[in-house]
Amino acid sequence: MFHPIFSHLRHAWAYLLVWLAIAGVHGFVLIRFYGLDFPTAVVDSAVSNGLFGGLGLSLWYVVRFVNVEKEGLFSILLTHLATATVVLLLWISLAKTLVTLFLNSATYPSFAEASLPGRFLVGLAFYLVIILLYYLVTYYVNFQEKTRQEASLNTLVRDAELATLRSQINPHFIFNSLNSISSLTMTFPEKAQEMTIKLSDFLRYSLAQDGKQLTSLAEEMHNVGLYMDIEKTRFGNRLRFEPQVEGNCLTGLLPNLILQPLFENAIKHGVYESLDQVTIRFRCSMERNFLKISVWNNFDPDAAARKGEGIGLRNIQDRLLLLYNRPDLLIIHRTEDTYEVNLLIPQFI
Amino acid sequence: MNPPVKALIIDDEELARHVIRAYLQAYPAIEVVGECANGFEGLKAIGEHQPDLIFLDVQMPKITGFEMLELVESPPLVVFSTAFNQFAIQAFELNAVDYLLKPYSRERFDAAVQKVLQRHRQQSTSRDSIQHLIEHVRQHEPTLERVVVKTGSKIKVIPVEKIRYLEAQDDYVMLYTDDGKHLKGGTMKYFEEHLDADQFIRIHRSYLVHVGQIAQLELYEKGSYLLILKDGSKLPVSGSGHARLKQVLDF
Repeated sequence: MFHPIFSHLRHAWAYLLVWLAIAGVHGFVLIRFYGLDFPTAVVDSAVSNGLFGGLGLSLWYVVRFVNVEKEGLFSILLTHLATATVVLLLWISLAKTLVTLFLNSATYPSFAEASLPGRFLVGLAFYLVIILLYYLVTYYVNFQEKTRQEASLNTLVRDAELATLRSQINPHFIFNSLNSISSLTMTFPEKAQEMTIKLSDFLRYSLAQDGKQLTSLAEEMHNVGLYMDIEKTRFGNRLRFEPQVEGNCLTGLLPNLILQPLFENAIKHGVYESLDQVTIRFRCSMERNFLKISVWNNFDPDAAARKGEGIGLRNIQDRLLLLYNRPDLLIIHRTEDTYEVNLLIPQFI
Repeated sequence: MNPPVKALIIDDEELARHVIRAYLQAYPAIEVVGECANGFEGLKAIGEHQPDLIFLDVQMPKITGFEMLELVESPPLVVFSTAFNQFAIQAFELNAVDYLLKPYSRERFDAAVQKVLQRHRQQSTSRDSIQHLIEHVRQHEPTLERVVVKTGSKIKVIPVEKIRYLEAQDDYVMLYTDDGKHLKGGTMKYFEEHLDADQFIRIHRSYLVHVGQIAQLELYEKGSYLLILKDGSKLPVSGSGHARLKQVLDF
């Protein structure tokens, strides 16, 4: 975050004007109520307020340094108490020295002495008002940032859902599945019915995803199971699916539809391009507040790789980054003939 | 009685082959001589059985239905059976005996078979139409990612990254790759248009070179250059080839 006053010329002007106004009032008060002569009042006011205006600018860094959200109340109070003491002592002594230097007046030192408590109180008020303003700015900017992030997260989720849907409603999957059903109606009507129901359930789950972000692994697994069953009907022995999920994972939470693209990729790059059997393994375990998910498949190294669009993986990476604010939750292991995607999903318990 | 029409079914999904077989049971005049689960098996079976008709899927492991057809010397009648995308559909509309979009009804299938039988009776040269189809598809294809060639009885799928350079040889093009050279039907113009223009440069009327293979460019005589590849090959560079090299390599 940039300095709110330095970063905008308009803010700098406003800041200057406010201090000029304060200096004006200060000068007026000195003349009217303390009976100071005009030049003394002007110099005193200009020096005191000019100095605090300068110190006030640097207070921003103190506010940035003391993060309200991360540190305890005690530590915040302590920091500001220390800073305020230093700032006020510095201000009062420097102002006095400078004014004395400028004026060379015989009466000023005693006046300065007498007005010490007043100056202290005014300085404290300045200090409080300035840091309060800075905190408000920080809060406001953070709030805006958060709103913007949420909006972009929503767009991303919507895009991911759309992309998932698009990839599901592609000729390869939908129409070939329907063709399998058509074939089964002639030979195994019961299997045809079973597959129709699975396909419907699968589509319904994907279509029904509303704004809901997180869902249980059990639910996601059910959907993946439907998908793999349908593909198994199509590909028969060419596809082997080996899920291995530890029981304590089932209630774990993860972003919805985040697994689907991984299995689609495994099918597309594994089964579509291979003459031999392709195995897809799905592993899940709970490790130190992380849901550790692995989707593994072997593939034919001779198959000339058709360029994958990589949109699926990038989408997952983006969603994880926005949801958990970490870029290291998706890891890919690739060997000559195997491909493994690992996901780490933080669990807030 | 006429000899039966020999038909071959090529599709990587068993259930898809079942549909065709089941529908064909209504036609005693058509005999299914085999089922194949991919393009390699398909090529072998075509050589073995010399079918009059093939039912062909497009998306299959290793090589697509199109790539397989490219390697068949005198293609039989072809009925595509596919769930594939629009551009292919347009191509089929222009040239194929028929195309069937999965899933299809018995009526739709019957209509396709009637067309086939009619063509078969007319002994029409399906070869031309299939050649047209292949040409059409190739023209409308996006950037080439691989080339399928046949050497003897072996079929090779060559990713374009493995091609060092291409050399024109009459109606053919010689592909020089990491593992030897392969002859492939087609014109330099076709390859120039369909290989990624950032990867392959036409340096000469007879040569297309993979950018990553270039080692150095030497002045040969005044105004003519010689391109030396990493494998040591030396290729002539024409004037316009030199200009293109200059542009792509930015020197």
